[in-house]
Amino acid sequence: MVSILVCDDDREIVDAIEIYLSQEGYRIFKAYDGEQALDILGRENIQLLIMDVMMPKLDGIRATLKIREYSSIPIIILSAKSEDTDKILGLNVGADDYISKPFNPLELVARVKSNLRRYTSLGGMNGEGGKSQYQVGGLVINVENKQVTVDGEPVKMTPIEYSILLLLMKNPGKTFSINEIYESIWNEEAIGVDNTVAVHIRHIREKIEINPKDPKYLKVVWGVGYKVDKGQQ
Amino acid sequence: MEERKSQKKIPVFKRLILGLVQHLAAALVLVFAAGILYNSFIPVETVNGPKLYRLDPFSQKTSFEESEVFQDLFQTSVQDIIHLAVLRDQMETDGIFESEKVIDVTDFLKSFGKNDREYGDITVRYTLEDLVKWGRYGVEYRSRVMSLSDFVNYYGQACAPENFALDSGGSLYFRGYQNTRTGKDGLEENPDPKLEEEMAQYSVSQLEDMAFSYIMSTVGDGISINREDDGSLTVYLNTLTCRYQTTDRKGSLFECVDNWADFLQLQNNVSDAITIINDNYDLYQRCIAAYAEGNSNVKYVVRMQTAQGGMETYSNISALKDMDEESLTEYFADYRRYLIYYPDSLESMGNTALTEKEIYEYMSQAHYSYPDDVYLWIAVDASYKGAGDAFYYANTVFEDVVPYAALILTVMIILGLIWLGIGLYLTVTDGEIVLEEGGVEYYLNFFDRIWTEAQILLAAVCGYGAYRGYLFLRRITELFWNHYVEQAGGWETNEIYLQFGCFALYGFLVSMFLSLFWYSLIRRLKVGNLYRDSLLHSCVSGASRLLGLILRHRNSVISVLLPYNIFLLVNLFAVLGISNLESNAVKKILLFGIVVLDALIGMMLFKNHAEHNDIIDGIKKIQSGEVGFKLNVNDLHGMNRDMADAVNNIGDGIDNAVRTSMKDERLKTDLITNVSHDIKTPLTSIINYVDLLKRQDIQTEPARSYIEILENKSQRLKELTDDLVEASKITSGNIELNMEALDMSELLQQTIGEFSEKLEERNLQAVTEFDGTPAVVYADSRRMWRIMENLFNNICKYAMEGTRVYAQIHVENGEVSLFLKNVSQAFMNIHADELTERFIRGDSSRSTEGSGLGLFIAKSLTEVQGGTFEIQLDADLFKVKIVFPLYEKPEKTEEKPDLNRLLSEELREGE
Repeated sequence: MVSILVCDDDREIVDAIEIYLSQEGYRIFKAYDGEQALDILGRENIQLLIMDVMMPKLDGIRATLKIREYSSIPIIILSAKSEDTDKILGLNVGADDYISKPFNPLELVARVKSNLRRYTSLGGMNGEGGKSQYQVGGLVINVENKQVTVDGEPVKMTPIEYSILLLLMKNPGKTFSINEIYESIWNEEAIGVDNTVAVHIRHIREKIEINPKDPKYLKVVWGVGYKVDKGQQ
Repeated sequence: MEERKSQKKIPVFKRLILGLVQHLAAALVLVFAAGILYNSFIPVETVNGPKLYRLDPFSQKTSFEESEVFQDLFQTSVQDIIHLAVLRDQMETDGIFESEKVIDVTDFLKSFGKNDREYGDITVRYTLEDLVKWGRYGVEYRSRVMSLSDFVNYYGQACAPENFALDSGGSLYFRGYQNTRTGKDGLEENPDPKLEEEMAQYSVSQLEDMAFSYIMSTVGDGISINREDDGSLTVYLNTLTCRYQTTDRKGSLFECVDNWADFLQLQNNVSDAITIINDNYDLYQRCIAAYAEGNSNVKYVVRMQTAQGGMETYSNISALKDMDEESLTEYFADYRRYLIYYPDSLESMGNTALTEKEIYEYMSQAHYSYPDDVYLWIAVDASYKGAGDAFYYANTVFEDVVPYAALILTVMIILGLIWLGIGLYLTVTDGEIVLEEGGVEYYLNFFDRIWTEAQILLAAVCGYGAYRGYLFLRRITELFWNHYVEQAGGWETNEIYLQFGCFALYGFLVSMFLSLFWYSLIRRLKVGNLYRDSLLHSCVSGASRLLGLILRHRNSVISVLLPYNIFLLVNLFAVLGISNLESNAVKKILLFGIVVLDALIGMMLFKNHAEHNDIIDGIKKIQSGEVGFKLNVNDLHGMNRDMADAVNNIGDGIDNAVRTSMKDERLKTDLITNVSHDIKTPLTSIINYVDLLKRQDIQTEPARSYIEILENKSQRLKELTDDLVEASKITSGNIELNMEALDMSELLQQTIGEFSEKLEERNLQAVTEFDGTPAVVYADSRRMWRIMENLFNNICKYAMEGTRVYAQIHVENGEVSLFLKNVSQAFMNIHADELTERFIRGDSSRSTEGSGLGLFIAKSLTEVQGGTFEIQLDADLFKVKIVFPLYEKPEKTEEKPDLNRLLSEELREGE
């Protein structure tokens, strides 16, 4: 049974998370400040940590720093601080995911699952694959069988969605404008292109992202185009 | 505020127009006045030369025959005709000029002369022609010089004893020439022996003297005597040069008389007669021409007793000559203006203003002997058929002018009233601005603020100018009249226009300057700055201020003014003292000393001023934002040092204030951020537990809808807190922008793609319009997305279902404009500007999701990035216009924010 440690100084939130995650069949440990969390981590076999940032005694950021000194378990930071700088800080000190409060319980559950899959079944960076397979984080596209998987879960795609995703995955980090995408997929000159590409992209995001509005893989560069980020690790 | 500004506008334009109308009215009044002035006189040619009549345009006489001009002309005519009749009697025989008519000089004088002296009985006769010709040539005299002896013996032997007699006392006297060349009648042949005895006692020259004295006593003027160098006496006299012979062929007047007294009298008589005859002849010629038959509108018949005794009739209507008196009277009474005079009844008939007495006077003036026997019939043909005479011309001018004079006068009065009315209106409203919210505000212009005295002086100058202008107008008017009289109306039209122009200009200028000063005075009185802005007030207040300053700064008086004066005095006395010194060496030393002293004081002043400047520079630096600037106090001295200290303190104060205010600003944003964090934590619980409640599969109906409401409201609260933070950050300027080049059309496509489903849900059709050119702007892409997101969220929320949404991008004039247009579903009862205020939603009564900060954030973000954001409401059409400057080729790559730096800062703060 997978054990998850939930740490927040707000007991009700901890309790609510416990309810959601228990329903998914996880075992929940509860802590109400950073020190307690470290304590429990030392005593129990924990596979994932959900932690608030602003906590008494030891805050989430420091706790994460300390944990990363000896453990590589997935850490999801759950914080009311929703600024970009907060997220960047959290992810940089070693957290694997950042969810800002108030959160959608379903998103939380999905992210927990995703992180656990990556930690337990897929492991770290997967060097294999070669040319027949492109991978960015948990997103893998297999050219041979035209299969797209996110954290191991297969995703169904239309041919055009597949082509667009493949184009972006082949060139991670490169931003494609709508016209460029259109021209390479439809093989036509883009004159008076309507919103087709943008709509397709949105559909792709809805399929591969946990929170399409805060995409992890397929990112929108507003006013410029779309891109798939290079792997985070 | 803007509205109020526009209400405060001074009605300059209106006042200007009214003023112009007023001045034009004044100019017109003067033009009309000039018109009357120039047309109100009648120059006529009379027998006695040109004459100028002034018409009184204000008199109510409407017909020429009743006017004074007519009366006067008629009087002149009557005089002329009476005169003419006499002249004709003189010069004519049976109505024809007779040149051979014999004129008895002395008789003539007795009839027509001035009778200012005795004419005597001695006379000569000349023909009329000779006398007239003589007069034309001129009367000439010859100066004669005779010895006394020749003179007294000219008309007979002076020493002849018969010329002498003895008086009762027995003394000898000259009793007159008894023996003349002409005859010796009545001489006593027996001379008195006593007389002879007596005469023997006198020398010849003594006797001649006595004879001369006798002559002198009889002749009076005309003879002068002079004693020559040798003691002899010489007589001087002027004798008339006789140009023509008398009718009895005598070539000289000497031949016609037998003594000097008669000679001189005759000589004068001839000379006078020539003058009178000549004048009369001229007059006769003129009158004959002027009153010739058919040539004149004056008709006359004069029946009079001639000098010769018979009755003679003179007339310029030949047909009437032989008519009897009754028929004549009937004939003349038919004329509109006539005069009939019967001398025997001493009464006149007629319808003119002439009285009998006046007629009688004219007759006596003409100096004829028989006024009693003159019958007069004189009339004026009122149809004025005879062109060219005085009546005709006067009538023409009269008819031209008088009927219009009243009209012109009325127009002038109306114009004058207009002038007055406008003036009154402008005076009452002068200097006032009526405010829409009620009440009146007063204003002054530049002219009203100059010194009152200067204004008075200016007014005086202008007044003098007006006086000079008046003189000028009078002068040109007089010139005009003179010219008119001389040339009988020959005046260039251009010059007339020029003169009328002068009048108009004068009227305009006078009215204008009067207005200038008058309205200014009124405004000054209304505002009450008559004294306040006067030189007197300036002087008084300046003096009192100076006095106040001196009293307030007694220290400065002691420390600066007093030493300065002492310094001056020392210098003065030193120079005076030195010049009085004897010793040259001491003089030089003292002089040197003074120069050094003055130089030192000069240096001191210079240094003081330089330090002063340093301090001012320092203050300017602080003023321009360099609040940390410090003056070096050690370099300064005395008062400047105190001042520098004070400036430094002020700088510190400002520095602190700026720091504090910056800190406060940051605290405010921090506070909002923190509060929103603190709200979010309990909100998380609420959302989660509401969700859990939902999962409880509650069947009771009200509970389910309650949960629904809870879920909606908690979601809204979440959005609200996010927006609040965002808004507070933007307003405090506390956001970091990550600027880059981005394409607006790309952004628009992406946005529509994102919203495609939401739009479809509401059955909204997005219509895009690009003109193909790249619409690249320089902005923060995420913020741009936020703007678009807010706008499209708005559209999805408030657009009428089933309508089209237009999104257009135009690139022109170096600008990229994005237009979003949609039809609003709800009735918009709100002003466009208010929509971008914080917490405003289109329909304030409807509670929908959203914080009400969407448009505010969109607008603020646009402006923060250097664009403009504008909302237009056209009935139900909701338009958003966003304009950004077109991004040209990048000149330098924008630095990405250094995340690591941010991170480390954050960590350090946390420790």
